Amino acid sequence: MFFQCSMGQNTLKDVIDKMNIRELIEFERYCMDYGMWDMFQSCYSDDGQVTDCWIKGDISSYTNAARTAVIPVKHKIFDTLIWKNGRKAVAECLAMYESRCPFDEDVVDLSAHVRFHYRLEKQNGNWKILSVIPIYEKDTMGSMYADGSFRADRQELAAQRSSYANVMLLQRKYGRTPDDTLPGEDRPELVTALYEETSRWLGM
Amino acid sequence: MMFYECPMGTNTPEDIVDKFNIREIVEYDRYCRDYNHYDEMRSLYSDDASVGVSWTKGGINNYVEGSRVNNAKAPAKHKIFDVIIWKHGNRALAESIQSIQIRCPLEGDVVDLATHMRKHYRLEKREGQWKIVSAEPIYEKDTMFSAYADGTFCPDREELASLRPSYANLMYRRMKYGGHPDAACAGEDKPETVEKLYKESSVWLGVMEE
Repeated sequence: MFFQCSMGQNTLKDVIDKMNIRELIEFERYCMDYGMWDMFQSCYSDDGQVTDCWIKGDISSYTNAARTAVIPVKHKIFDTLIWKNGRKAVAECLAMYESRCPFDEDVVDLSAHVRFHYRLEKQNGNWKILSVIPIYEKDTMGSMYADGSFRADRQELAAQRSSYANVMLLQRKYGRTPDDTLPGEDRPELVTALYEETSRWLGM
Repeated sequence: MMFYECPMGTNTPEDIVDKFNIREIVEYDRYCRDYNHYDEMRSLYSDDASVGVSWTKGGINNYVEGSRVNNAKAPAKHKIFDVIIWKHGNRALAESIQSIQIRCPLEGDVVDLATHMRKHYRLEKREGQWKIVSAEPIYEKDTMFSAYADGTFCPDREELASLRPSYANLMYRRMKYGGHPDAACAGEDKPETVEKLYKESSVWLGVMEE
């Protein structure tokens, strides 16, 4: 599997590659958070693919849809692990994304723990993102006020995927149809399938 | 001097490669722990490595086996903020500043435990490869709440007050799961425990006289 590649044995050349990959990924999330859409798209290969909980597609169509997205998102990145094999690399960015938005009569804070799983390739001397897909871990949603009225309907929550139940609830509230087939801690077989596919792609 | 008084921000290219590798090892260590890659986690430690955590203290093999069992009961996720590294020749200290997240059933509810701590590592370069030779926690503070806005979980205040303030909720949860957490770990509420660890690490690193 890709995560079995040796770690902590980088040469200076590897360090430069991995620093560039980490910067690219952190910048890509930064651009999404602060609405720099042309710069966001420039982080990707022309045939880059993005999978999100509410939309999936090529980088151009994703960027066009995201420009007018109604749910604002901010990503708080913890750490980013990178495995490299020649001109290909896999990265996992461990992050929490947050959304503050109106919900019924209240304003809620959604917080979702996720790791973003990237494939990257060095094209003409520059690393570019080929694909990204989230792997969900857990989430919470509560009023932004200590005395807020928001209470998620337990039955409705229980009907969603447990690793991103609140994300799905919020998406539905805003008229979207969340993808319920994404990899997550509650569906380890989907994570394994993704990891096997990525490991083959990486040449492992 | 104490290890944290070593000069910072004056790295050579060789130091940068070393520190990059150390940071990768320390981050990958927690990644492996979180996602159940125990053989890979074990490979990051020297054979004589020791690990202290709230639930055990001993050799690396003992820690790996215990992690396997614990993660099956109440899986933990380590969210690393930053990693600071001090290097002296073939030895290094690293502190990984992080929050340990555990979501698990407790007292009829589902809770989110969040423990702020820094993990204090000693590493040594042996045959050209950095290996972890020890890891110890330094606890700062923690919280535990229901995962739901209308959840019922509310820990007993007296019971909480009888525990170490820097990791009271972590101890509380472990005890409810039948464990016996170590009450002698280093923590913000007992600065002398941190001072002792820091002096020992500074001597080990070779920057302080014994």
